[in-house]
Amino acid sequence: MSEKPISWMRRSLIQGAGASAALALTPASRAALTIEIVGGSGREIPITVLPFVNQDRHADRVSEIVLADLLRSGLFREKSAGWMPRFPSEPEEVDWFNFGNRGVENLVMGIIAERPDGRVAVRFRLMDAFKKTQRIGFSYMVPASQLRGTAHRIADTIYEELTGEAGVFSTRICYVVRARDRFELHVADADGANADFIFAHPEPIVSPAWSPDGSRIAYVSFERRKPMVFVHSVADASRRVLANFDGANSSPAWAPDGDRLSLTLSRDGVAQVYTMRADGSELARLTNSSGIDTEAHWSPDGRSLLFTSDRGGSPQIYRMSASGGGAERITFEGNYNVTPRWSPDGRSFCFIQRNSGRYNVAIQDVGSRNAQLLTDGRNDSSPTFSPNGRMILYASELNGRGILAAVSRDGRIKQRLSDSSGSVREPAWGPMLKPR
Amino acid sequence: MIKRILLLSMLALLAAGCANQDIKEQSKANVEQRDLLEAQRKKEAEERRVAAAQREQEELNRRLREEEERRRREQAAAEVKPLPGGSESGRPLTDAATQLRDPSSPLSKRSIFYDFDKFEIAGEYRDLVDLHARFLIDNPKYNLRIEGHCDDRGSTEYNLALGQRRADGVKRAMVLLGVPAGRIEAVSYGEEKPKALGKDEDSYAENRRSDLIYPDVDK
Repeated sequence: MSEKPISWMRRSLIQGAGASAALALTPASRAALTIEIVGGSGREIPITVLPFVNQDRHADRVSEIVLADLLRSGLFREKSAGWMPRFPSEPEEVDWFNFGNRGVENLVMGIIAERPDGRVAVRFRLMDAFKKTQRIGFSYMVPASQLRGTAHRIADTIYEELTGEAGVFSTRICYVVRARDRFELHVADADGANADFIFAHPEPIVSPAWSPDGSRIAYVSFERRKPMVFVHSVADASRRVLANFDGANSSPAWAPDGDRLSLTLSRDGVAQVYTMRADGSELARLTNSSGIDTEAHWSPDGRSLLFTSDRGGSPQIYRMSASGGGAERITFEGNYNVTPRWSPDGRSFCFIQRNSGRYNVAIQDVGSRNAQLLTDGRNDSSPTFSPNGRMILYASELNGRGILAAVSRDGRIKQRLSDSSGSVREPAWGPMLKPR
Repeated sequence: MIKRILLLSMLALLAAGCANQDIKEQSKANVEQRDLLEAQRKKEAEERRVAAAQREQEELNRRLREEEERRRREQAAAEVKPLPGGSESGRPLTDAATQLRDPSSPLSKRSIFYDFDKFEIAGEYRDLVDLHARFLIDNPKYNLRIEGHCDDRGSTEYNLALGQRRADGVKRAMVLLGVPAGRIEAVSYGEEKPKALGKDEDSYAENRRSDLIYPDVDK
């Protein structure tokens, strides 16, 4: 995947304060995916990220990427150190008295050093400015081309240290861009950078789903003038047909083990849920109803599935065992509840609910069955959890154009992402990648 | 007009006044006029006969030319092998194809519309389904492709399944009317190919449809 330059503009509206400030602008030429924060958590953690020593020698400025990641989460607010005459890279160079006086709490500093073999050493420390001690610090040896990725990993480390939950700044997302004369399946970093398409065709592409290891994406393509399921390897761009039966083939979802998928087929009549191995073998029918059964999604432990069915007269969400058998209806409010997606901890699920003519993202607790509406768009769809369960990315509309938006699971943090080249829809948030 | 009639009457009275002395001259003039008219009629009849003969000859020539043309075409067809996968765009339209395309033909109506989240064929479209089923039975070399569509609200995947259900419903109705199932392909595009791009009920209604497409005739 080629690296495309991107510019992104952000605006932070901190709840209560009502402040609006233009924030960091990173290296810039053409906007790919623009991210805008439209709401904050209300109790953000103050963070000060000093420019890393020597970072100006590289196109990707590490400290700016780290800070932008943290602010975009909605859980942090910047405590600027712009007043400093020069920036330290080591704790012993820090004028702690001055920092303390200016309310600096969490201080990030770092240094980049070029090695003769072309690689760079990146070292960072997160300091507790009150206690004047290091909370955490790492160094990385990477090719200079991976500085951006390294910055995301530093941000992940800081995020986890200060919030207690895993960061998702190193993860990737995919989504479909409807360009002027074709559909493009894009893969981008979670911050919208490095966006590029892996497949494009004049016929529609829908329902992308990442394999649990992030190496493959299953999706539905209409390239042969009917919906068929394909599996596409992200690394080597190889692709093959997974399901091409009579009628519609759609809604692929990976089992957590990555060996099996569920999918929706209409080969035996009305759409029903089936499973098969990732190599296309061992097709088995999972549901058996006279209504539409679709949008199956595996629980994180792989033991049960949520799916949409209109067997009761209106589309509702049902739960069934991954080995088949009876299904239990679990949504009752309203007459249109669709697109269930388990949270990564398996304790809740998000879905789309129709409320007085609007289609919005809602979240329901599996145990208590309490549901909460999270968004207020006119036609929100395709919700997908971040792998740490904090955010839900979904498709929305702005001025008649498809955009992506994200909302925190508590509804307090909201972001908008839009692509300048076309209408964006069908997002899928990729998995947490194992440390490289 | 009235003035002219009065004038003619006065002239007639004057003529009657001197009738006796003019009678001989008058009859002579009448004979001359009759001969003249007779000659005129003969000449016209001759002209008509010549014209008819000419037209006949022209018609004959035209038929001969057509015959010649047809022979040449057949000759050419016999000598040229069709190219595999070649374009069929030059093929002349048959009567059946004309029926499908002619905007005044009921067969040119190709869409069945639905209410939100519904897939049953409403009563007002029964005749349309019936008409196309009969067309397929009468024209065995034509196949049908039914494309089911939905408006873009709600779930992409649920709409994909709903569009399939709409297309399958039309197919089932036609099979019940006697069309072999193998000649009908039912496909869903879900909400991916809206006909109207507006975000209002009229646009949504236009997008909830099954389109009947004859791949041999349409595009």
